[in-house]
Amino acid sequence: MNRPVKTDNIACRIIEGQAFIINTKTSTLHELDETATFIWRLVEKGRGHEDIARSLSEEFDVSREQASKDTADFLRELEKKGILAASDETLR
Amino acid sequence: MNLSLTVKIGQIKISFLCPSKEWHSFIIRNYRPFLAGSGGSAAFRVVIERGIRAPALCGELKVQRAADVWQISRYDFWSRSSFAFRDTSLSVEKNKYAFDSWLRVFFTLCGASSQTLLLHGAGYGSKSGVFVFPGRSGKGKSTLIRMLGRTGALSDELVCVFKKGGGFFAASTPFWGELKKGTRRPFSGRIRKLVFLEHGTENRLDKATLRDSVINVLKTALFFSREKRHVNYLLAYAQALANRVPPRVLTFRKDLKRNELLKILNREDA
Repeated sequence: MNRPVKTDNIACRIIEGQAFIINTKTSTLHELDETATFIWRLVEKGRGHEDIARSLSEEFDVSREQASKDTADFLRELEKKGILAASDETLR
Repeated sequence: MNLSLTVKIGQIKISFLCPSKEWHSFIIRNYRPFLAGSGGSAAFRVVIERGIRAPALCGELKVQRAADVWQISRYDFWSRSSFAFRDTSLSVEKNKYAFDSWLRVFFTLCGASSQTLLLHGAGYGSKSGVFVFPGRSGKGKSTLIRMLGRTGALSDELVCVFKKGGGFFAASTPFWGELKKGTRRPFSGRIRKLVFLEHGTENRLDKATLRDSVINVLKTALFFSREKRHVNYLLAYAQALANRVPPRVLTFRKDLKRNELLKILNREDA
């Protein structure tokens, strides 16, 4: 999976360790939990899928396979919500 | 005859240049308590055009920006503003519903550059400060203002919240809901508590989390801009407001008496 890229329609703020994201196109508020916020911070730093999965695996003590699957699922979810630009993989 | 006048809501002053004496009287009649004296200058200037110009009047409300011009339109109004809303040209039907609707939208856009937010909520001022009750329709805002009495009420529908000297204040607005008669004497005061409303079978005031406060403020903010910088501002504002003003949840029965309600709201430990 390519490096996830934020769309131009979002405004985000981390409040009390939780990410609050507003999709300005749909006026929808998304609130991320601790794990999702952890991934989101890495997305904001421009990290790629594998890199994020590795950090997730280390931080939350889950297997690399599980972390990779969880990361992919989450990024796909963000794509569906218009928060991340669609990756090549989704478009295929 | 000078056909200009200034309406002040919270800290925002909007001056209107009217096209006729009828328009001038219309604004005086509907916004009298909010008319500001002639001293000082308004940051936002609106020229009301004679008659309705209808290049793109459409049924639904639309707030759009094209290059450096903002356009607000609905079937009964149309306005064009400069980038920072300093100068606006307005075509609107001369009735309270149309003008009030336009003013609400315009005010929120002015607010985004003036540390001001319009919250769907009721407000009530007492000697100890202002209680703001954010909540969408059906949460009990008008019921609560009926219980507390209109004398200290800021509004039962939309309250103006603004930042001043590091503190948050709430001010009366001309925008009322069920209790249509509105404000006789506008006032503002430092916000003492943000109180979210719940109907229940008992009367009590509980602490709310900062997270709940942020979410409730975001959900009740009247906000029309989809501009990223404005939405970022809204998020930062909600966080600052939730950080600075103690959030509470008021559960109340409809038969709660005024004195009892004030006692609950004023309790220092809650």
